[in-house]
Amino acid sequence: MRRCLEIAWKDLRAEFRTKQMLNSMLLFALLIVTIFSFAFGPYPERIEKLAPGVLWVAFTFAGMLGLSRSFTSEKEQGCLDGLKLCPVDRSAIYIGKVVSNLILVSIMEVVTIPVFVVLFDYSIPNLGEICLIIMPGTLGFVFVGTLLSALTVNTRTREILLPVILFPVLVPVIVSAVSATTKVLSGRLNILAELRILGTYDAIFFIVALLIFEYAIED
Amino acid sequence: MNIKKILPWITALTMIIAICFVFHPASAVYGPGSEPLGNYYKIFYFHVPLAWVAYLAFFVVFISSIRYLQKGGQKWDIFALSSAEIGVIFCGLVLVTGMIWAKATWGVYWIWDPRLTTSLVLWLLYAAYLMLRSAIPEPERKARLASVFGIIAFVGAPLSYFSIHLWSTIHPEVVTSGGIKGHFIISALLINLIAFTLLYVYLFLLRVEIEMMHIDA
Amino acid sequence: MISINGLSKVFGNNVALREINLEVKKGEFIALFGPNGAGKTTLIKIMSTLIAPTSGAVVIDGYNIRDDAIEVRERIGVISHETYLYEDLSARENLQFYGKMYEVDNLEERISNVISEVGLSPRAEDLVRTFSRGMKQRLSIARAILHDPPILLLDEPYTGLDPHAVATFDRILKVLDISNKTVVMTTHMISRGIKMSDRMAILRSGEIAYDVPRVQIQDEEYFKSIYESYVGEEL
Repeated sequence: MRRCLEIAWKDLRAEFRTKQMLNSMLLFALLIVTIFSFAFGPYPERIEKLAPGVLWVAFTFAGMLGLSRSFTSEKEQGCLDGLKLCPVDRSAIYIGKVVSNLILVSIMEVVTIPVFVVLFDYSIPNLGEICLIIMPGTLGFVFVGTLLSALTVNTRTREILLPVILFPVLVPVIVSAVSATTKVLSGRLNILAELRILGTYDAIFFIVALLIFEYAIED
Repeated sequence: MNIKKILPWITALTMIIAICFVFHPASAVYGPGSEPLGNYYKIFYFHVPLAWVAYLAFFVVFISSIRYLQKGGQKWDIFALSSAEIGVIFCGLVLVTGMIWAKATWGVYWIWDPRLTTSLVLWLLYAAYLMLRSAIPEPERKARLASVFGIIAFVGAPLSYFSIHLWSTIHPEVVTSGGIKGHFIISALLINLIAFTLLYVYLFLLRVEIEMMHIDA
Repeated sequence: MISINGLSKVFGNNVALREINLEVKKGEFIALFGPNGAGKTTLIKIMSTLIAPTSGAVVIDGYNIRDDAIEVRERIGVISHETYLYEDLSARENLQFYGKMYEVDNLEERISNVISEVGLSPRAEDLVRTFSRGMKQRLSIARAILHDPPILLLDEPYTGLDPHAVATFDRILKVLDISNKTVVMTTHMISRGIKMSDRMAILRSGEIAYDVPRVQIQDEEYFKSIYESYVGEEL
């Protein structure tokens, strides 16, 4: 476990030095929110209907941009082979990558929310419950995204391929998260069904990913 | 060898019988109040078996993918590929027949009903599966990465259904709500299920054979 | 130290390795030659647990690569033409990362030692991105020997190095006193092979076609003629 964190720490150290992934994610999230506010006009009437969609589109699209870069740094100079030569289980590499991706995606989300609040002039009610949805949603997103990012890193068209294969798998996350967010924003707090699906999704895909990650990064 | 020669004939014969059943007046479906529903309802005799075959095909992809990762062996990869291609076509037909039926019943081609939407998600998943395959030139890596995705896709499908189910459903529960009454209707549905399953098996064997020829060549 | 028995690897319809048998004794330095596509890199990758063999067994220091991959990885250091170094980390940070992955004792001290052994002490805090190819390859040696493995696997380590860097690379390998390390090296450079190894072998279409002690090779010309007669093309 300590060595999983070393992998994550190494990633974060390199990332905070160049900020390539973080900056492109943040900028892209900002762009999405801005484009939505252009598309809906400056003061849309039913903002609580639009907000869940805008937020989750921003999270998933910007997050995916980051995920698609997650294994490219390993590919330069053959680092992935170097990592695979280390005396650790393949699953430790997966967990390490999940941790670093989780931190970067969370930073993006934490920055995006205030941007959204300011640009749409909308104060989010029940912020605590919103976080309760975002956390398992982000976990599921990162669990699957990290696995598929490893899968596509060696393909010719990975920039376009990752979204194409990732989004259909993410449907349960997006549907449940948007549905729950919509409820919470309109003051209904009966989101147990959604949280249950998100939790199940996270648990199932974490286990599946641990089992099959080694095949995704084999040569 | 013998089965391969007989199978197309059996499939064709079953299919003809199945179609006769569907067009027979006695196979009309009745609504909850026993009132006869329009003839367009008969599309469900195709719709349901198509969906069944699509699920079956994707299940075969799932099993073949697991076997490939466990044991290796090109045949499992060929099984997965063949089944995925057939599954995508049948799943596409599920969407088309569903849309025709929806237009006739509700006057719109598309409704965001859980089962229809799940079929769309399934179609997207396995179209993505085929796209992933086409993006990897090396045969062995293609087989391995496709197997990984073949497992993920199948595991995610039921969760998609449950999450979409959170939106309210308007799909007719024909099978469970007692719309199917009488031996004739049940036989008609069963014979269609058998016919389409045979068609799947036949197409599957053909597709596998073609792929085997590619390898030998 | 390394024993390979009936090792085969098939990629689709393409047989990369065919029933390879090879014994490498402790302290031996074997140089493997062969044309592109003969299976040299595949052999190294299988020995280093990066890819799984189709059939056959490889036992390294008593551990089977199939069942005890982690024990095998602890005992090998791999240097390839790829450096396995992170460009956005400094030389020291790279070694810190790999050292922690191998759970090296007294890591900071060990890092200072290996960095000075490869002559990079003045640049230890600089990003690898700013290094020349030769410096990266030297740091790559430091990375491979950091956990003091008894076995070194070198896959075309001279690729992309200028003559000066090649000389430095050799000197470092010698200084490391490799006599007590078991080394398998693949290369195109006869001069390096003759100079460094004590056993020379030729791999041809997935089979070991030739394998003799280094002392039987009189000079480069002699080995060149042998190579041509076995492979049918110039080295």
